[in-house]
Amino acid sequence: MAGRRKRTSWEIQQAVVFALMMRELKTRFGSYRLGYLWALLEPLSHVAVFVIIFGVIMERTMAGISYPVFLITGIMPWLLFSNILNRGMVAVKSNAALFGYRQVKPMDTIVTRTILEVLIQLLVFAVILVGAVWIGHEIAIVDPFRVLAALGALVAFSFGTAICLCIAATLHPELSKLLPMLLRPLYFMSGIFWSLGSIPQEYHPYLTWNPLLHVIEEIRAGFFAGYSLSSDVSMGYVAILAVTVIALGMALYRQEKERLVAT
Amino acid sequence: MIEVVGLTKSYLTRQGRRYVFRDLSLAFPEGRNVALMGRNGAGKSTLMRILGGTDYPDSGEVRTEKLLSWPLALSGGFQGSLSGKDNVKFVCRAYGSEDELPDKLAFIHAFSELGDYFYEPLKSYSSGMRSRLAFALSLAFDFDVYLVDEVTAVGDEQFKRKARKAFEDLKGRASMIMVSHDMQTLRAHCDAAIFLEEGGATFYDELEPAIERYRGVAA
Repeated sequence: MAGRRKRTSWEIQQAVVFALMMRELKTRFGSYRLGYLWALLEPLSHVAVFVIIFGVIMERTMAGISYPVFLITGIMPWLLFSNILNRGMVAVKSNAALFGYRQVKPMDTIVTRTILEVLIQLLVFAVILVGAVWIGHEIAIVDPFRVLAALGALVAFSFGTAICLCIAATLHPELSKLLPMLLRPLYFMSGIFWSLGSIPQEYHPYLTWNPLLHVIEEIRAGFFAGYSLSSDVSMGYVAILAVTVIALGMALYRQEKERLVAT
Repeated sequence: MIEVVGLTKSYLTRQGRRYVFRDLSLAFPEGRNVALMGRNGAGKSTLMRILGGTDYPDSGEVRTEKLLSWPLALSGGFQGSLSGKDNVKFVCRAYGSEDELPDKLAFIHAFSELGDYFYEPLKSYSSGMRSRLAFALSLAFDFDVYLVDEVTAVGDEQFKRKARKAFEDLKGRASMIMVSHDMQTLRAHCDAAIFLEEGGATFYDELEPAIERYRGVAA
């Protein structure tokens, strides 16, 4: 067998994350084909619900923007965010048995799930957009880089939040019940099926604390020509929040990483 | 040489804090196969996990330059819906053997004697097959010290002989630390012992006196 060179901790982490990723892909999608289908069906079912409820009214208020496409640009970032949180929160718990191999560290499982969600949701996003064009919707992304930058900020924010949640929920399992309770109202406050421009200015302060709203509005500004973007939307705000939660998550992790594994 | 220095480990139970070790220090000498003995609850498995780096003490540390295996009976890391092959692939990758993957897989496939079951989901395995896979997996790596927790209870008579033979072959290039309640197994493999009792540890340069003591305690 090959000579034994000590691997750096970075090399080890890369190998472990790759190994975890292959394992998770196979576990999630390997045994039944429906796994792939479900990844597509979930966002489409959201679209269907809102098109049925608001379709007629919204088509009238937003000239030149197809409402289903508008919805998708809100739902995909939302699913990316909520999936990273939901899956990241239980990453350590669901992989507990793997920490029997000393190379596998709790952080690797959170990183793996974040990367995997990004890959899956971006692919789903692309497939849905291609599908939408195919059935006759007109989509011309005016500023793709703006969309990607906003998604990048969203992933950073979600990752940092997932680390904090994962540590909290692993050490105090009862806390994991809070997340769905917090996510549900947030879903309605993030501009998934409405745009900030359609809300009177005086109500904006009640909504703009929510970084998701900023991200979704920014993505739409990058998507649709002439989208009326409120001046309240600030990517700087999202970036500061992202850096803050990542720093907080890393500090907590440094403090608690042994307790995450210890019996 | 593996040194354990000032190790304290406790668990919070309903009756309050219970100490498994309090400021425990001991050394595993170089090149010896050491039996780790003691009654149920004396902390054998806890010490194994701490040595394997998969559990952490409240304070104290393990000092060594050696490459230690994971606790060998470990099959908890296996995922039921994945095939045996995919399960061991994960461990090989995590241990940085991407390049040697085909060799390692071939070795594990052959040694575990699983045949076509190697490609079946793990949940279809019998417990014997499962531990054969776990055992073959750990032999695919060049560890300096193998942490063996009740492993030779693995598989049928024929596979037991094979496992014993594999351990014999390891002598010289690797040593082991073994936990077992079966004195025959310990006699077959070990030449020294560490006896754990009431949070302390005694080293025995020979196995027999430790077995005597275990018989006295266990009787």
